[in-house]
Amino acid sequence: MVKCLLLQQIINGLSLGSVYALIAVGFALVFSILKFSNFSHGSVIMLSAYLGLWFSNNFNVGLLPTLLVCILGGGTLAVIIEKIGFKPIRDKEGPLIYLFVVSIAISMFLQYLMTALLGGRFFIYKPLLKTSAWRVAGLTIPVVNLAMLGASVIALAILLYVLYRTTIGIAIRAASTDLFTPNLLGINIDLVVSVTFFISGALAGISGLFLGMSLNVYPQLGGLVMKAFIATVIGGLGSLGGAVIASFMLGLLETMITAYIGGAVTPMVSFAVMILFLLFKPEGVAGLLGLSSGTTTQKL
Amino acid sequence: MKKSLLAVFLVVFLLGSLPVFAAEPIKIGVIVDLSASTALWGQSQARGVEMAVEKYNEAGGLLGRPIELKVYDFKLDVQEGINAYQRLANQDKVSVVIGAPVSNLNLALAPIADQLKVPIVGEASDARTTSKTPTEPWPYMFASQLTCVDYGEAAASYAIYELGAANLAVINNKGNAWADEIAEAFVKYAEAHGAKIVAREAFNWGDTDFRSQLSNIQRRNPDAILVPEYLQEASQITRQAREMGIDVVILGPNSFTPPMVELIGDAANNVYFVNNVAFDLPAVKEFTEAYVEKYGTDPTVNAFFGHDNTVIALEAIRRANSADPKAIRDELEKTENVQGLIFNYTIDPVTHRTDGFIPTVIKIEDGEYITVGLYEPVRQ
Repeated sequence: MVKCLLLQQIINGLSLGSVYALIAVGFALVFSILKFSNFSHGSVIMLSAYLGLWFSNNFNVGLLPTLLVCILGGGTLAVIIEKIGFKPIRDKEGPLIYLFVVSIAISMFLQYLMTALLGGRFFIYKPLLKTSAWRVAGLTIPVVNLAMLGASVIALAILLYVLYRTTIGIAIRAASTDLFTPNLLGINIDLVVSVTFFISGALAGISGLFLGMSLNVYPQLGGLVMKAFIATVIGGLGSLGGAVIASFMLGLLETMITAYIGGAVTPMVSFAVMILFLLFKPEGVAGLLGLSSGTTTQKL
Repeated sequence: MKKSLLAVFLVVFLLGSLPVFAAEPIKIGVIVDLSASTALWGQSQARGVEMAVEKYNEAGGLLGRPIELKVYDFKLDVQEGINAYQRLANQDKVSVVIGAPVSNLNLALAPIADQLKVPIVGEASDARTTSKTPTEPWPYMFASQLTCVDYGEAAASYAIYELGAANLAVINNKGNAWADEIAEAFVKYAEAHGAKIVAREAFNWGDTDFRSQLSNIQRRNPDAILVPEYLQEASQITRQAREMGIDVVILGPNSFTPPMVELIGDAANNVYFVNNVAFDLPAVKEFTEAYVEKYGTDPTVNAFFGHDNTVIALEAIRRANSADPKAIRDELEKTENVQGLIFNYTIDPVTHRTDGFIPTVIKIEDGEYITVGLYEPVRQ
């Protein structure tokens, strides 16, 4: 039992990391194109959780159809948010800070909208998984988090395929180094941005479903996006690979600090690590490992 | 004949209602969380207040004046709560404020209420929200319910003397004054009564994953674990503990009241919690029915306290025969035998809290809430 503790804590850390990773990838994807931290990602997560709940309870369907609805719903929602909130600013070539501020405003607006509509109530998913945790040799593995890990891996694989093997992917990568030159070359930037938001929203949809299943559904559910934000900064803003690696690092770091030093200091350490990276290694983990980031070379 | 009867009726009706509706209303402030993580409690409390005020208004108001509510949402943000109180005192000029069940806010409001001099009748359980020192109250702060120390001691005593627990563990949010006070009192009582605290784990606001702390607790193999947390955190901790195979007794405060079972189902079994309401009281049952009929959802315990705190405040206004906050404060201090839903309230002028409030222990078994009974901690 005592020997297992370290192993259990590593599992706990990786499991927490997979929650962060799925959120962080969607977050980093938008950053890589539009160069701003899109906090409305959290509200897409939250709204997808409500959508999945409504769908699975009303139509009495299982996990996979609900997942599909959340993916499509989350993607559509993110595109709508982009069209209403961000496109007008892009069209006017407004400063990046406006996009950032609008994203926070949208996330607050939607959170309070849901509170006003449904109150602070908690809504509960009917059980979509047979068991919520596996226990193997005295170790506990949370199934929902494992599913999030699986979903992150699959989503990342699809994402890499799209980015490197399809025309729209090449356009997205071109846009991620410079948003305006591809436009001159005849690439439809609005389409590239919409596709990017759709993919990001689809990832948020997956997160929303799984978070809703494990944490219940309430208006502040999107708050975990703050952790994804830390992970994307540590990962190297805009780098997908960096965001994933940093998410697992953050999950492990938080878990180990909590386990061996005490939970009271954990957030302090996370933010301290973020500050240290920004001061001494702003390219983040991606920079350390030589992963492509394509964004931080751009000076403000 | 009919017409003249109608005329007489109208005159009587107008005369009877004139003093009520022509008079300046008595304004009562309410500070609750309607949009953050304790919004469920806040909404329930606000409705409890509303139902009490409706009862008085239907009976012709108070001092011949109607009662008007000013409700502010403080979003579980202490600064927002302070702004709300200042607005209620300076702009809305309310006579008394019904406060939120959040200790952090009331700790911050206590010295401010001392300056703005509008009394707050609340239900925060941190004793420091009403006591400046153990022998001196904050003059403008009152609370009807148990203190954190009462909760912590009752939980520890019950675990040690009724459940035979020798090794105890605690997990709580270090940033939540209420949770930390309960944890402190629990640890102090347990250690003074021969039990051992084998693990003491902490987390922070916004945390949703408690597996790291729970792994540490699991390794120490305690007989019972205290989880003195608000609804969302308490439900997640309990659920994750059960997932990890931690099947021992979980002890808690009143946050384990409904909808806890609805949220986490079987994971809530083998929970014993200290509550401030005995659900089987006839007045509580009757009020619950009226609440469900009016709002279509079940009340949380905060609805009962919202109602009772309002009654305590309004009765003080009646005795003071004035809407002046200072006069109301003086009368609040003299509150004696005011009948609420939960209790017959007498305020102790030294602690500014209900005298002799005895906690109730409730057990969750097979998804049912079973009232074990009133329980006073063993004193040695």
